Amino acid sequence: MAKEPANDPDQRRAEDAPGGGTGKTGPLSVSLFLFATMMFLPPLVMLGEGDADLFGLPRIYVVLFAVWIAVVGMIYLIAERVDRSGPPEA
Amino acid sequence: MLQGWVIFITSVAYLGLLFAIAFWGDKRADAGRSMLNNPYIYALSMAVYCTSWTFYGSVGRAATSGLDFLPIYLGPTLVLVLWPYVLEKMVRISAENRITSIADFIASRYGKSLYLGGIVTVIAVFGILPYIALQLKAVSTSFSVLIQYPEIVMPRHLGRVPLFQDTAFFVALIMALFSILFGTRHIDASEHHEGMVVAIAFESVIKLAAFLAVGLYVTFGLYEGFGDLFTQANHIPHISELFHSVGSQGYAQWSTLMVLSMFAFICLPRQFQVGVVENVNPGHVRKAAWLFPLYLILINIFVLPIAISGLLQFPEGGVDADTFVLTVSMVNEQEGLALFAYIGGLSAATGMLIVATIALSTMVCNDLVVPVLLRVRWFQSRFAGDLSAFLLFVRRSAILLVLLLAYTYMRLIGESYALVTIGLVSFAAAAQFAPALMGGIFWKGATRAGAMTGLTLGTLVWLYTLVLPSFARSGWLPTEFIEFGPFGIEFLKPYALFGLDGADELSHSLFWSMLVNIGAFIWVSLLSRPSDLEQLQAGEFVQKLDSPGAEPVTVWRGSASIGELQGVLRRFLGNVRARNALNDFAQRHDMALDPHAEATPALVSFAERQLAGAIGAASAQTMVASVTKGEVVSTEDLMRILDETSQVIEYSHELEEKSHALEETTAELRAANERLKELDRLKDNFITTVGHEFRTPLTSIRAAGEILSDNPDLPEFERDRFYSVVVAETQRLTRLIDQLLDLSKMEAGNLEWKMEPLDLGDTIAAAVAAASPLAQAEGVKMEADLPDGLPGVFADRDRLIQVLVNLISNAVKFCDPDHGEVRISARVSGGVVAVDVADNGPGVAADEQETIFERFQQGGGETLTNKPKGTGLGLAICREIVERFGGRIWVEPAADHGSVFRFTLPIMEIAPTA
Repeated sequence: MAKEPANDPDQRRAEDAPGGGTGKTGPLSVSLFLFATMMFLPPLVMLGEGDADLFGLPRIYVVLFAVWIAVVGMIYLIAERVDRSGPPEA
Repeated sequence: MLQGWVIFITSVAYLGLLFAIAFWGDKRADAGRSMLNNPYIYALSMAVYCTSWTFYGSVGRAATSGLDFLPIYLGPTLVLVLWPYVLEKMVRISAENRITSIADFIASRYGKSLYLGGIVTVIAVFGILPYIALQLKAVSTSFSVLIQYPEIVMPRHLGRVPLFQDTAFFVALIMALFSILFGTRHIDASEHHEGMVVAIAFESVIKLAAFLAVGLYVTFGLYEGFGDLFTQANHIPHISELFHSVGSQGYAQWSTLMVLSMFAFICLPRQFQVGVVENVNPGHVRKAAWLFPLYLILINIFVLPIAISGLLQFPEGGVDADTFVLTVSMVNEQEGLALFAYIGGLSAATGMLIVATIALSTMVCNDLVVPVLLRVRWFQSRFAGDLSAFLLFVRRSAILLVLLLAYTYMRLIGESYALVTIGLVSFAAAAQFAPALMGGIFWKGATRAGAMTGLTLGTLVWLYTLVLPSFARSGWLPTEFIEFGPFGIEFLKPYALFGLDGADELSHSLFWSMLVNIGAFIWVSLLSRPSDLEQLQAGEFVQKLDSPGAEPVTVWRGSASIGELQGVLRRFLGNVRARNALNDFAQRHDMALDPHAEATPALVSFAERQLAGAIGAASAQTMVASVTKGEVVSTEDLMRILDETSQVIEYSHELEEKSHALEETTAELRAANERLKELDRLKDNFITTVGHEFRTPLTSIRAAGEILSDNPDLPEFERDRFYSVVVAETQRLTRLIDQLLDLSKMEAGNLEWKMEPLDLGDTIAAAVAAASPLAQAEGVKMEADLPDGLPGVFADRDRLIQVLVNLISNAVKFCDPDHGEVRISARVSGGVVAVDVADNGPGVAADEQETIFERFQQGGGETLTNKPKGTGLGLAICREIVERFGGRIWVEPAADHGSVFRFTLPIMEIAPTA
């Protein structure tokens, strides 16, 4: 059976770049993790509660999704924009 | 339109499409154009996380307890934030060690332990079975609800469906077929199931599209957007309270669900399968880290609207909230939409069924059946030949068995549970793997004994605080022990262990099981001694990120012949694969495959890794050991390998640092040396020049003195002439020394400056007056063109006059000998005032315009002896003074003829007295 490149672990190893844990990516992702965890857990998440509306929608609903989208946006920035200027993945 | 046969045909058509896609995916891969090398397919396949529990259950949960459905999806987002440390690391470790499942991963980390792999497998099977059952139940329920159209009848009012009329039964069988076809193609389970993954990615698209379709219809079709929907809901208090608080079930539950889903996202066997085993490129993790959470956001945004609309549409109740996704479309006679929603739910359920059964069957085969069979002597003697077909048979049987068990379980539990509760019990079981898994890749000191103790105790607590009571509630066990504790012992009540009361059941269970699990894991790890192999594997796993791409350490010290290794490989991989693998290796290492030659340690390790892909790390190790004579690896050897490696790494690191420091120092020294050489050259030049400058007047003085002393009877007028030469040359010498001192004082900063506000016009006029006798004596016409109201400057008056006189006298000296003209002008431009002294002499050559301001550099060439006109220091002093005042001085050619010496001075903010 013919092995295609993607299937061969030895090949995969050779393609490995020195990981996402290098440079600024690591510290940035840890700090984002701490930030996001704090935002999603009590007591901070409780601040969004209440009967007040935001843009005609329940406040907590808007707040949770807005923070969530912001966090995903920041993952995108960290994953795709930081450390990408370095040498190409060998 | 929604007759039974329409639903049936659509379902069959959908599943047929799934088979076709998987088949196509495998064909493409075989042709070398794998679809898996695509981060989007990878991210979509991860969405197998969203099962029918998401599709139907989230809405149900939202309708009963509000925003509580959300933490299940926030958890994975949080885990993916840490992708470089968690998921990517696991992917790299697994690729190198040919890991086939989470059981294999944990077993491999803790010294390729057979028992640990077995325990993980057993927990996984019993933990996940209910979850698989839940998917079947969802299929069955959704079908029975849909087929009643246009009536809306809940399945519990329909009575028991006979076995051969139950959709779930057929779906279970079809899924078993699918998993067998596309999940057990290769004997090497660490290889990728292209067709299966592509089909899963496709299912993820379908379920998202179906859910969004229902959500959009509800929000914008039934109501006029989000605002309208929420406004209507706000009028009904029991609905309104669902979406104004996250703590409707207590904040403990909210937090527990988040932690639980974080663990589940990496520990659930099916997530490990798609996220780690099926990954073809660690770089894909980076993209999936934001793509997958984006998917989760999309699939969650309409959960609350659908739940609310369900509550509004069925105000009198009687309709399960778990079926709102279907029933809201049905009650509004949207047949097509209802059918699409049903297919979406089917895709959510089947996706989970496929991946979970494949993952479980691999675990059952590699970590349970094979290790046991390899120990049984009669099996060894009876099946001495090729075992690869037998292995595939075991996996296929496991798939069928798991699905049939799940179906049986589903028939047994009946209708008593809400979907979400079952899923959470499974999550809590998978969470028990988290300490051993995370500890394994971050803590070198974690040992097998610790992992085993933690895992076992944690699972027992889970069983006691979550599973047994739920059995009791189903009526399989007496309920007394929930209310009064076993044997009437109050503090052992499963829902309030040791009197811990007040939290919900799930938080309570997670708290105690994690406390016991993590506590035992850490303490036993600290107190136990890891075996040699464990230490080695610990190093391999924990340090993965430090040395990516490093070859696994070769630890085999025993000896085996190549022929014997070939034999073992052939038994488990089959003839062709074994030969291909060995030929590959031989080619890469440029060696011959003589069956009687002794295998190199690298070849033994290679063979073990190949086997690990097929039968798991633990069994592979046992099998290779069975043909290797001598010790696998001695403690001393191991220690030496570890020591050598770490020492060499440290040493080379130090060397690198030192050579770097050396290079820096060398560069600094070289720069300093250059500077010193330059200074030395300048000093030599200076002394030579000063010597020359002094010698000219001294020669004149000495000559005059000699003439005077040799000729005492010189006529009076002759003698006077010589005396005046002596006086003039002495004056020049004095001037030279004065200027030299001035300049060196200025440069050293020792000169006293009397800075004061000055009227520039006055000062220029004074300088012109002082220099006019000189101009008259030389017959040079001098003009001053000074506009009125020149601004004030802040400077030393005497020094400024010195500059002006110097420039004017230079101009007088160098201007046209016959029609000499010197013009002095000043004007304000851009915050500074510029003063020009222009002459109509020969001008300054372009290459001298800079050097002319240096010491002893005069215009008109290098001839030092023949220049009686100045000391060569005047312009250097001028520059020093002007720069001291904050201005600049330079020379440029005049418009027609001659040159312009121009200097600028900053204008003082407030003019002095007008």
